[in-house]
Amino acid sequence: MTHRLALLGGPESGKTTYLGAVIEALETGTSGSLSLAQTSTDNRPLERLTESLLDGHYPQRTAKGGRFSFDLALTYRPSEGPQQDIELSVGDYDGEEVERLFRERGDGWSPEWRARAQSSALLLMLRPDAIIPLPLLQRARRIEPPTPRPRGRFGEDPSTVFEPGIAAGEVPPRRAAAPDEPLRIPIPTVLTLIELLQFIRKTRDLAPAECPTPGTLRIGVILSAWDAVDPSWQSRSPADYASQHVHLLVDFLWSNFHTDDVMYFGLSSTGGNLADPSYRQRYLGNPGGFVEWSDVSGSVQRSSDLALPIRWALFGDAAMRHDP
Amino acid sequence: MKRVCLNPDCTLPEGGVCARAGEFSDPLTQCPNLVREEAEAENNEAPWSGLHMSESDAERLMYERPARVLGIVGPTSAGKTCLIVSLFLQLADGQCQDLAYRFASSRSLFALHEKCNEVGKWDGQTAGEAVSHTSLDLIGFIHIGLRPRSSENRHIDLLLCDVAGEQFSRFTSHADEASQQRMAFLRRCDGFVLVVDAIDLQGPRGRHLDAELARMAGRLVDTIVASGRREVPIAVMLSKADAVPELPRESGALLALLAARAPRLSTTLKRAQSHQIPLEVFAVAAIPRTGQPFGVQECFGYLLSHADRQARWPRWVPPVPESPSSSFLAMRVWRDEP
Repeated sequence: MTHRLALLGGPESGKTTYLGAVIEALETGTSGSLSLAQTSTDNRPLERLTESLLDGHYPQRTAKGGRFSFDLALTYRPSEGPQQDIELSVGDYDGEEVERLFRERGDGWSPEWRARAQSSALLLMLRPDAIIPLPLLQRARRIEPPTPRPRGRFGEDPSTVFEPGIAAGEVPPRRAAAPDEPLRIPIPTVLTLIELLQFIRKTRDLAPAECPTPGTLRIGVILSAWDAVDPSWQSRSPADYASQHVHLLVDFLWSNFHTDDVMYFGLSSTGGNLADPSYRQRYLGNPGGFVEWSDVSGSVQRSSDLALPIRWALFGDAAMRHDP
Repeated sequence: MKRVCLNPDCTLPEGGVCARAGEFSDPLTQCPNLVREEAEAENNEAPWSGLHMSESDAERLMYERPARVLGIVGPTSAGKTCLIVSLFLQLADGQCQDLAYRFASSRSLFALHEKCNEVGKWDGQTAGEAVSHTSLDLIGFIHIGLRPRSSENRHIDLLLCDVAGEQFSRFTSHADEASQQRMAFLRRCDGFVLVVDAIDLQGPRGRHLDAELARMAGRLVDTIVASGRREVPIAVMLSKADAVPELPRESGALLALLAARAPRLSTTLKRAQSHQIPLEVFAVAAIPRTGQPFGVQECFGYLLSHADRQARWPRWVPPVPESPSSSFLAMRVWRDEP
């Protein structure tokens, strides 16, 4: 069964790095219950994505107009139930294409985009250090993080009646701004992603606020480069960060998708900054990253399985159950 | 391959049912009315422009689903566009907790993005220049889709018509056939905002402004009365209230202030009230020089409480028969009883 996954994100949102890191995890067998079933006929896209990471460098930005897609034959071995053979189709493209589509409406909605609109799941990539609102009249005050949430290692501490790791459904509300806090203006990336999602929904004949059949279109919001986020925010959940910083997107997803079909992840494809020589050396010795999310108990879970967002996108909360 | 049916009653091309389904076991292949046309070469145009919606776009949207149209009128540079931008900015930043709705969609994201950029570049000092003046050429609508915060699974299309000050002034001065046709959408509005520059009102041209506003309000009242829809509310918005600290915030006090500072306008508003047209006055700072806006949510909340009001059947309580047959009936508990 072919599952089509679309990665959506603006320029420098981390799509290419994430794809490279996931492929590396699949090839080294560190991707949890997802594994490669067979070697692809055409390995060139995979080589292009992983080549730089093998040397401890970030992949080059996808060239303007550059796009490619590839298919992966995977095996999914859930903790319960039979294993499934799936074919995953993923594409990469130049991030500026999203912004061009927003600005120039005349010829941007190409057949490729229409094909992406029919994907089984979407992963939206946003880079927190790029979410900087335009200051209005005075410097925008930094949103102070609230008190830290408890942390839990994925698979440990079954302290709730629900299975550990099951994602929290509700996103924390946006805190009221102080009276003297200036107006914040949404960044263009958020508006372009919302517009893109609206186009996708229109292509799928979904009316505004009409939720797709549960499970047919999951949206994973991935806050990339999560390791670079202010540590005080890292102690909170990615959903909380999104609610405070990109509330327009959060509201749009709340209004148009089932709660269970939207999930917020904080992800670091490389676990740290490869531009830092000392970290790069550590990475070469032990490559990997991490992904975080909050579960129903309110604690922040962390896993080193970079394919987790893809598993969730394809199989839903069942893929988040405790995997040994 | 595109299908077109020559039978006007057929809805099969739109995914419905063949009008002659009873005659054929497989209408798709057998019905003679169904014509297959070669699909036109697909263009790569985006589903919509993202700009202001034209009257025909708005009409097409209203044909698909009901929309609430709000007319935002007032003199030039009163703050009409800033009001719309402020609403969007507050929705975008999750600062509309007092509004019973959350953001759901918009077909005007590009237009809003442009206006937000202009606001972002404003130095906060140059009066009347927070955003560029609204074009005189066309009547345009900003579309914002909302969803109630409650568990209601509804989508409300809000069409905000930002009428250029010069255009509305012209209509106010002389409602000839051409301008009436141009302003025909006013009869469809589910609410109006009359924007009054609070700074100008107490300035040297305050009396002129009062006269102009009275005529504008008069046009609105006449339009509402002529449409027969007396429940259409008018929100009078005193804009730039952050620059007038002595301005009260309470509606009653603001009405009293208008009676003193803008007697002509006040008289026209009384005429509206005599027609039972809902009316409130708000002090608003849409894009204040410092701090957060105020009054915007209250203004739109008031308008939406009327425009989005869902009529309910009056509650009917069947009489409880007298004993001895009433013991069971007397135990009824109606669901919405306190």
